[in-house]
Amino acid sequence: MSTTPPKTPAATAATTGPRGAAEGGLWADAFGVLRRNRAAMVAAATLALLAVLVVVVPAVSPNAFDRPDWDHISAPPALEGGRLFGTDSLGRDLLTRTFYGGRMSLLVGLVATLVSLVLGITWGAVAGYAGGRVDRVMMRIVDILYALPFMFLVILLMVLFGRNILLIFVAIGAINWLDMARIVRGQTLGLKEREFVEAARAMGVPPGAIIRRHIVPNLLGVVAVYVTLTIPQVILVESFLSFLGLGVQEPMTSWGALVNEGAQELETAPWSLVFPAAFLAVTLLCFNFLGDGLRDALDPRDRSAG
Amino acid sequence: MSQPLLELDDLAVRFATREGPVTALHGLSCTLGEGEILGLVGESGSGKTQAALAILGLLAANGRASGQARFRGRDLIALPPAELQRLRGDRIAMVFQDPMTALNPYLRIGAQMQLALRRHRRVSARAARDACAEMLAAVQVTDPGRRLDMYPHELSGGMRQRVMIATALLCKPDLLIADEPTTALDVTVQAGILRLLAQLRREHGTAILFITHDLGIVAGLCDSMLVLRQGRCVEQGPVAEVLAGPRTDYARELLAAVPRLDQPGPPPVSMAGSAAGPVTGSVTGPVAAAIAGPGRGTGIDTGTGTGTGTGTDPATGADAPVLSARGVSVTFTLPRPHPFAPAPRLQAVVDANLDVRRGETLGIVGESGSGKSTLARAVLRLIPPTAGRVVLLGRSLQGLGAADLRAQRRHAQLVFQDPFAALDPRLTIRDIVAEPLSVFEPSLGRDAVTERVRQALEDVGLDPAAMGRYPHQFSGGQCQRVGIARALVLEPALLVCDEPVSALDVTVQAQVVRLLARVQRERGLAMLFIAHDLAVVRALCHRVLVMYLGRTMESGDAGAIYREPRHPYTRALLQAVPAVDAGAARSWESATAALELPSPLAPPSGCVYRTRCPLATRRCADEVPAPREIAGRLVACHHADDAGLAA
Repeated sequence: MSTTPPKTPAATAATTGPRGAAEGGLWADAFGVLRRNRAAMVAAATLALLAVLVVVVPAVSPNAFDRPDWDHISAPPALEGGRLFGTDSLGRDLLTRTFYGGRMSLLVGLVATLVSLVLGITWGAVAGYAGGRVDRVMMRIVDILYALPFMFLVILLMVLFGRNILLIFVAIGAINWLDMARIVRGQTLGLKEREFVEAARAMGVPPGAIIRRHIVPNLLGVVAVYVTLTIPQVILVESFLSFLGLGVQEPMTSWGALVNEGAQELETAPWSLVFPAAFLAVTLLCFNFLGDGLRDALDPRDRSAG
Repeated sequence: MSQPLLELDDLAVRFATREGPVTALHGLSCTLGEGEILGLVGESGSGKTQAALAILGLLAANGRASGQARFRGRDLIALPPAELQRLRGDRIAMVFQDPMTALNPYLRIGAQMQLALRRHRRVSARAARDACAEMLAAVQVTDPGRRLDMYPHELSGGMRQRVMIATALLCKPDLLIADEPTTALDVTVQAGILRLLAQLRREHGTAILFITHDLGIVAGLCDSMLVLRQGRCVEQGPVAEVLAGPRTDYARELLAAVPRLDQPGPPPVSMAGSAAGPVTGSVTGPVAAAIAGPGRGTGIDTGTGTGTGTGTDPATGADAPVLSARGVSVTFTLPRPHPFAPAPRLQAVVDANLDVRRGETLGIVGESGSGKSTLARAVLRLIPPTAGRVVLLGRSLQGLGAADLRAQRRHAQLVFQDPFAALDPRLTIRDIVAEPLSVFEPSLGRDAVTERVRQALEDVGLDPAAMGRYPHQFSGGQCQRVGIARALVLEPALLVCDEPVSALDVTVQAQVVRLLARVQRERGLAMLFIAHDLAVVRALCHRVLVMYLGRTMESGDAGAIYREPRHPYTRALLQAVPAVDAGAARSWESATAALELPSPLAPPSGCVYRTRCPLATRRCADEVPAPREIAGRLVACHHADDAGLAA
């Protein structure tokens, strides 16, 4: 009570004409709040720039990411030849490799998150809305999957199917949707008690349409926040797998793989650790700032919507 | 008394918001003497709560108060926070509106009450506890010693509000600020709280600043009143004077909008006239077809299962009820308290019967927990009834599959209590109103849908230009109109309204009531109207059904029941309603039924009302009273014949 500004003393007796001239829904409002959050906006701009760079740089770079240059093994950063980040122990250009690895890391982050998004929202919303036995069975399945040791699972898959980048996408996504499903189910349980959902039921809207029209759109706020926190988590997991040698396969690379290689040459060629690690860190930080900003922006308590 | 207790001098409140400064209160000036009760009246957004918060220095962080609020000569606005803190809870205490959220759920009642006392007085824990128990007894909380060790959730709303008042009174304040302390409570409980406040003033000389929107309360409780509108004082003076001769239009409007028990009811249902009369020109295709009975309907509902035996009744004539329910019961099975205990069963509705005809409104009234909303949802099969038979437009709803049931829903639409909660915040007004059409008339083109939505919005008095906006851009009354438009867009035969006006301001309430009455008259709708406000029910309903703990107490013609209630519970409800007339008998002062609602898990034997009934005898405990027909209505009471004499 004491933290909310008062409802504007708008004409309560007036019966026609909406109050407030602003057009647009809660998303537009949220975007307005987000725009005033400097950290989040800087983070978003940085991420956008990174996304462009990882696409463009490997394409225009004079040095291919996988071509060893035997004359420049572990060369320090230099302007000459465009090797701004130096080269690795095989003489490959680190600048190209860093952005190429970024391409892979961001792709893993996006695809795996998308997998978890689609699976998690569908599973969680259906379980939460259906309730009862359906809910119990669906959530027990989630619990069982939770109990599987993830690393063991990935290693097993690698052994069975060989190292395959697709497998990594699927494996990480398949683990992350469990969290998403739980979050979405919890939200759905609250949403389905709301009167507008009951109104839709009373109107005769079929369950599928209620989930699509009323449940999922109202979940997206929470989900959007969770996604911005999931992407860095997924990138980190991929880095970890690559660091263990279970991730992407040479000559392809990712930030995790680069950090792994760099760590082994820390004493002789520190640049091969510093650059990929810095990019990884900046990306993770940006996603976290953006997630924080989104959470603030989408928090309805922060707004005088009434 | 030479110096008034509280003197407001040009008190103003401003808020710095993103859209710029907003003035919530413009220069309010008034005085409150020792032991006086001042009613601060206004609708939501009128700044009445902000005035109270400003006096206490509890404004939100972006709010600033200016002017003076002199309490015994000391200006509270200019007082340093530490000194104000000392005053607050000691000399000035506040009671908030919602007793459900004003208590900390993790603290026992006793611990909670002692906080203020031990902050302001040097007392031992033991003495504090005794003082608390004493004060609880003073506010008529039964068994105060035991209550001190309870948690808030173990107490009912009325009990919690009594705890709040007791807490506020612990330090024997000179001024009590009560912000809508009874708005969240039932009328019978409200009557008890009002009686208590009046008594406190008499016995302790506590002055009260009573903030409310209910003129009936002001009329019965306050000495003087002050009407606020959009942050400005519109009218002030002694209660009797203002109510007898309001000088401003707004005060007159406010007074006129108050629904009254003694008003004439709705116009009678004219069965013959409604079918062909010129007024009902808008009873169009679907309704007429639906009323004519399934088989010739619009195709969506009727193609599915005619001939199953439950359906068509050849006798379905013009006067057959639109909705008919017989012996409807709803029993909820609650989670077991421990694995080997039997699951507790809660009988929310027991053996309810009702009929609603075309053009007729049936009111269902009762306190919270009486099962009135559950009954409405059970007849719509939104909650599956455990027993009973419901017939909608000649078709039994029992045994219908999920899809068939959904198809029937187009004939019975629902309007909800909370206008904001009932609208999906992520959809535009157009999409909200169009949703029933998308289900039942998917073949309509985009433009046709928009046209129907425009029509529906115009029908409920909204500007169709607002179609592209979102619910949060509208006021509560406007949102409720959108809800009604959504319910009407399919032209249903039955409209079920679940407390549709209880969340609205009194002037808006009057508008919505008028709207519902008009819509019903024009379309010959059958309406089921659930409310706890008996005056609103009087304005709209032809017949009334009074519920208590899931059982029907009395049902029949509204006029007769309001004139001469036969069930003691009906009488208690009617007595508890504060009357707005100046000088009218303070009926709530004599109202009985101050006792708590018994737990619905363990209802009393025999007549469920007997624990609160002044007429209860042995027989009431032994024998469940069967509904009997007395004076043209059904009454479930052993003493209905002599009830009039005993009162």
